[in-house]
Amino acid sequence: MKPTARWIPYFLVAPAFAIFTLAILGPIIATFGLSLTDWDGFSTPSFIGLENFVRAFNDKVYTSSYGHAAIYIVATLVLEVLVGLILAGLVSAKRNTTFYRVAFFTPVMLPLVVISVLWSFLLNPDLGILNRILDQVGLESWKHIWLGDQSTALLSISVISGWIFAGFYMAIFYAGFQRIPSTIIESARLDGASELQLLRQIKIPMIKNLTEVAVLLCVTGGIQVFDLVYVLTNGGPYDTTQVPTTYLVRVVFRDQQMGYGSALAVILTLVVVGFGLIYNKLRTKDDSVVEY
Amino acid sequence: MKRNPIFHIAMSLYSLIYFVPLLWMALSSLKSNQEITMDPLSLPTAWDFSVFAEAFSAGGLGKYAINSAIVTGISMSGVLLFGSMAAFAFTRLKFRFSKQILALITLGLILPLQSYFIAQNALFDYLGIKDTRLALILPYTAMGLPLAIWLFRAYIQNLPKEIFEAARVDGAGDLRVYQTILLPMLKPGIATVAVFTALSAWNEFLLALVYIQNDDLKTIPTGLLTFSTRYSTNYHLLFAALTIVTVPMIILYVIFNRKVIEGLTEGAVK
Amino acid sequence: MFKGKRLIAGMAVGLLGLAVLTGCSKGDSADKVLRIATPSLGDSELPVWEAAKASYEAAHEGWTVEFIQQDDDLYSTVGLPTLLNGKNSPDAYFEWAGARLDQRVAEGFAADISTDIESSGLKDLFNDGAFAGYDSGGKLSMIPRARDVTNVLWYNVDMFAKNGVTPPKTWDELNTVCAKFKSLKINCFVQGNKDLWTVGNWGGHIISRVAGEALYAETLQKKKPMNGPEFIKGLTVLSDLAKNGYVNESVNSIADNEAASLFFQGKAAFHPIGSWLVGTQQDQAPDFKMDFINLPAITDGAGDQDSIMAVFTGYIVNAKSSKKTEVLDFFKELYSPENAKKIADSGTVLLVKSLAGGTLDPLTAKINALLDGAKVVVAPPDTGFELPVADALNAAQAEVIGGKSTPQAALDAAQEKVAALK
Repeated sequence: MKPTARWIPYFLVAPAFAIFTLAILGPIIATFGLSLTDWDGFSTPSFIGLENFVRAFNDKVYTSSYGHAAIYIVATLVLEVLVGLILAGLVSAKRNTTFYRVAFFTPVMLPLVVISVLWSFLLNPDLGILNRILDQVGLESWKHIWLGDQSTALLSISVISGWIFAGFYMAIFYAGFQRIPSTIIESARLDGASELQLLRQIKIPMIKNLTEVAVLLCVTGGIQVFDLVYVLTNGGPYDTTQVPTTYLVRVVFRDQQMGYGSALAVILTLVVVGFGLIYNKLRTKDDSVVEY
Repeated sequence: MKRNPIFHIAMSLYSLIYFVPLLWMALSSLKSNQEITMDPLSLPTAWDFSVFAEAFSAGGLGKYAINSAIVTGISMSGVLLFGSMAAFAFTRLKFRFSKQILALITLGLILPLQSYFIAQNALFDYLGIKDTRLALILPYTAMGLPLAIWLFRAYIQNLPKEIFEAARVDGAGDLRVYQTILLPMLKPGIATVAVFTALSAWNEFLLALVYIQNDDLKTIPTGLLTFSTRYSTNYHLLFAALTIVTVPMIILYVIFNRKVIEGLTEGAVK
Repeated sequence: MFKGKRLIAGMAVGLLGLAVLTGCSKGDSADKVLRIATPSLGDSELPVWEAAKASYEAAHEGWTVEFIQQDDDLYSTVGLPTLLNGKNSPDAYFEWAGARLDQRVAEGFAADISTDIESSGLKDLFNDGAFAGYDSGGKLSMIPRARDVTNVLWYNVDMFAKNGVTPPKTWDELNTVCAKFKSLKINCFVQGNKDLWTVGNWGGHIISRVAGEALYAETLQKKKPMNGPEFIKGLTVLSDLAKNGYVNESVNSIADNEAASLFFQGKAAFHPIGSWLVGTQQDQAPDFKMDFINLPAITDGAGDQDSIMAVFTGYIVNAKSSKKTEVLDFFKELYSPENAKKIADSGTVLLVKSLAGGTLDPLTAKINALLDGAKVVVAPPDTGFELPVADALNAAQAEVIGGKSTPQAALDAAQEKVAALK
């Protein structure tokens, strides 16, 4: 429609656009600019070309942080998306499952910091209950300094992440299952399909779009993981849980290397946006599946 | 669809994974430090709830909660108001550059926070708004807008065009249409956006960590982190604080669970 | 239509107005508020500051004093620069003398107080010689606070007595003591190195003893490589402690205050940390009995074997502040004999005359004696030198004490990091 007065659409869009430009768009452009400088945050930035990027690719801590993020992502694809899918299959197979759905979703809405502080106690080597329980059931050899041992730290973080977010993916998948026309399900049941067959052959294929979205969310979210790692290990021990975001925050806000940090931020942006675009290209639209 | 006790037993056992940590946290706050360190698995010996009052006053939890409420409330109102206004214009009105502006704002859906927070930090430094609530309200609003506009657009597109055209015929201006026709019809969408923005703002950590140093302005996540550093060895006080922060959210969540789950999942999937 | 516009405009203005109102704090540099930034003061020292604030405000009509307190680790890294460059930057702030003070002077955040301290009368409160080490480029730029020993070996007095162990004087004796505790299934050392600076100080002290103070300083100033033979030898001393199983396994996963708490619970014989443990102990475990020894002499070490590791702390008057006189007046209140006594009781000995004849807590007095008697004072890596260099060394020490790397490999990696810095 044509607006009743010419200024109206601009008036309607202006506040949103102004706030967005001030807080996000402008800073993004500036970050790209800053990535080409050497800057401590206070004095005048000096232009150094692509030096920061060269440094980033030679920075072992930074390059390895992507490896850690990759491990975390693979682990959470299993512990969050796959477990979420299984839980959704379970709770949608029976009636009266509201209680479980509500319970499994609880951690999603609590601040990650609260959960991280709680888990750092559960896993505390000296007074955490996990080690005490292992002690009492005679599995002493399984005891670990979970977050302080490089062989278990990253995995522990992934498991905690799974504890938090499996319920989230369950809710997404569950909602998808609910939207599958009941006639399809009922007729399959009449044909004698078991709940498991139903899940594998009808339900999951029909929410294919949702699983693709879930994988995208899990991967792009995984590259950006911060709160959990920051509170639980802050990159330690020996940088073995250092992920791109925690390292970025250290470079910028501890070492005050704003220019270098901006370059790291630009790389991270390109990775996230690039992955999102490629993934969307690869996804084939299929009309036979349920849209969310 | 027969009743199957094994299913419910198995699922209840699995639920324990969620309940035990939270329950342990709540019970530990009632134990003395000695009991927690010596026997972390035991039940409290005395049910003395005064520790909650102590944690509340000693740690300034009330202060943090009020800050979180102010920041979240204003950001959420801003997102709902400005987001619905812009979505209305983008969907129902023709104007120059509408496509380009929308495309720019849509970028905000995929950009990670880390893409812009360094320069944002410098900008806020320059504007002198760090260590004020505005330093959180502005980005939280900006971060909520792309999604709000996107969701509202989808809702508005699903509303029959005729309603708007009929209002036009009755002589209503666009702003009037927005206010009297669109807003009431947008209610379900508003609830989703409200839940999503409110929880994101309530739980946001990184910007709050970087922008707010003044203890009087800290929100719950950073305030709690300060608390946990300061009282890191005063375990029962720390657990009490964690419990105080968690319990109201769980109660609210249990009451509004359908809206919350819908809001969070739809917000993320769209 | 008019009504609609007004409503929306009203809501928008209301929102923004609310945001500004709730967000913005008041004031410019000419207001009558004195802002002092400091790491968290702790439960025992804060009341003294509150008292000084009250008496200052009573004596200075219309003025208020504000304390900006931050978590220690935050304050020493990004917190303070953020405050200094922000609006309402503090009029005075806590800082470490040495490299950090010089940096603040260079950035224009440190006022020269050489003459003002005299004219204000604050100088008269201090000991003779209290100002040594608090200048930058020959100009007095700090109000002294205290000299903190950052690394001694605290030990559990009752545990020693019960097991018939006497405090070791040499490194060989230390090893014997540790072997004995190990046979009793007691951790010899407990340390919380999650933030890397605790082992950084402890190991830094050991390295300076083995490699010599001069080489230690030159290396941290990037004049010598990190992976030279002397540093490797020094780090090997630390590595041997870990290899022998004398250090808690959780060393790199717990924070410094958790380690202190374990020490107070009797979970270890020694806890290597600074003089501030006195204050922590009084707060947390008032009945716990502890004492300390300086780092024992290391055989064949090139450095002074009685050296202490210490930092000088104080308060800088912000050169950008127009309230120099007020700052100095406030510190006259804070450093009054009565307040100084209370601060001393909480574990920090101000360098003021009034404490000279007074009765100090015995541990604090003993720390003071150690400071007064020291011929060589070594600076800790993180407060004495550039932070990224210190981080590299601290990370290497963490790897070694955690058994992840050999001293050679860890220092090679550290050298690589240092070389990458400009």
